[in-house]
Amino acid sequence: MKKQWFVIALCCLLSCFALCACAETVEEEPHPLTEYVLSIAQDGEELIHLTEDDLLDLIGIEPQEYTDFVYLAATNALTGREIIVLKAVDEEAAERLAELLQAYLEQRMNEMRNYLPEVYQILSKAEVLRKDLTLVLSMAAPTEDEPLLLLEPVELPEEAAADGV
Amino acid sequence: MKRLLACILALICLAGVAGAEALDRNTLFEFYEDSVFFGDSVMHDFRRYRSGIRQKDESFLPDVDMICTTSISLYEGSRRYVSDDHYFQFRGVKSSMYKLAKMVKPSKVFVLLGMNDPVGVRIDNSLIYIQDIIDGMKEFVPEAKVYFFSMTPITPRYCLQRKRPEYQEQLNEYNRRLKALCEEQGVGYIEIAEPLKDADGYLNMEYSSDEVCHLNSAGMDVWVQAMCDYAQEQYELDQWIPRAELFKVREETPEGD
Repeated sequence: MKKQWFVIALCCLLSCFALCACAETVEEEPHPLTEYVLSIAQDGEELIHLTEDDLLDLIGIEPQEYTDFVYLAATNALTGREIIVLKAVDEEAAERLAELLQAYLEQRMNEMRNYLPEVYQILSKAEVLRKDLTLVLSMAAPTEDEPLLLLEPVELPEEAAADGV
Repeated sequence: MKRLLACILALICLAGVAGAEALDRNTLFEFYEDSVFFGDSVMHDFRRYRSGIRQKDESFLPDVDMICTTSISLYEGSRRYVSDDHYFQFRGVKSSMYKLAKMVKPSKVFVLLGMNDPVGVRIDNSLIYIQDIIDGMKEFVPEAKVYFFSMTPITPRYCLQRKRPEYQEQLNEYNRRLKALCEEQGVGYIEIAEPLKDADGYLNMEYSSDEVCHLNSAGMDVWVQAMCDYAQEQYELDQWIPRAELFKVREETPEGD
């Protein structure tokens, strides 16, 4: 009888451990655009990923205007560091998105003009870039070529593409 | 063996009863649902902190809109009109906090402003702006309950940079009077300054991102804990009922009441 109780208690304990193990979070599927942006941005690992809600709340960009996006920002808002890459649904949406991104850049610059003049100077070098339906706003980038690289993905040689690089 | 198991079960039950009054974090977060937070750069960092955590944990402070302008002062934020340089912006709309609150229609409004003013030096004027916010919110969102966070502490370096050697003490006095005003006006006051301080009464460097006045993620953790403590306090004072208990009350209420 004692042995039975012991076995039952041991089974309960083991079940608990098994259930805890099963509660692990499922790994998210990789997002190619995000991976590409992170491969270009030297400080990408230090940036946090913002969401479509942030695009809407902070910049006024509606989800139906784009098919894909990446929005990264530094945890310290006073650095001015942000990366926004958008794929617009069509030409009209691309024009609207360009205006909204420009308005957002100007807002951030206004905030910093007298508050942190050195950051204002850094932000004043940023500009909204557009090619076809792709838009890029890279602010306080650590490298000068980051915005253009984000806009124009480098064409990979055929053998590298075949290897999955 | 049976007696041992019975004792273990009894202990578990006792522990459960003793902890019944302390709500879990997700329940405490309900207190802040359907709300809008207004602030400056300190709140802007808090917004990013929240966004970062919510990437992996959607239960963290859900249903909260945070509207921030980095360099805005309490004075500028309290105004009903906006200038070209200073405004709040939400979903592409540039406006005052009152109009944006009206647009969002929250059940609660939380405000943290003052780091860009000399609130500690001009306490009387600053409290007038606080009163303006209380009055403005009553007019634009009369159904919303308004809360003010205490001013977060600063470091000795801030005092040196601004040439205000006694500014932390002045901020302490401002917070005391802000709390009194909130109590007098029937609005909420949430103490987040004290847990952020070190033994000398300044912002604990372990919580600072810039060694001046902004908070790092450890400081944000403390801020969130203070918010949870406040929600717990409101629960214990019967000022707020969590959803689960609200449903329980409704089920227990006899028909016809």
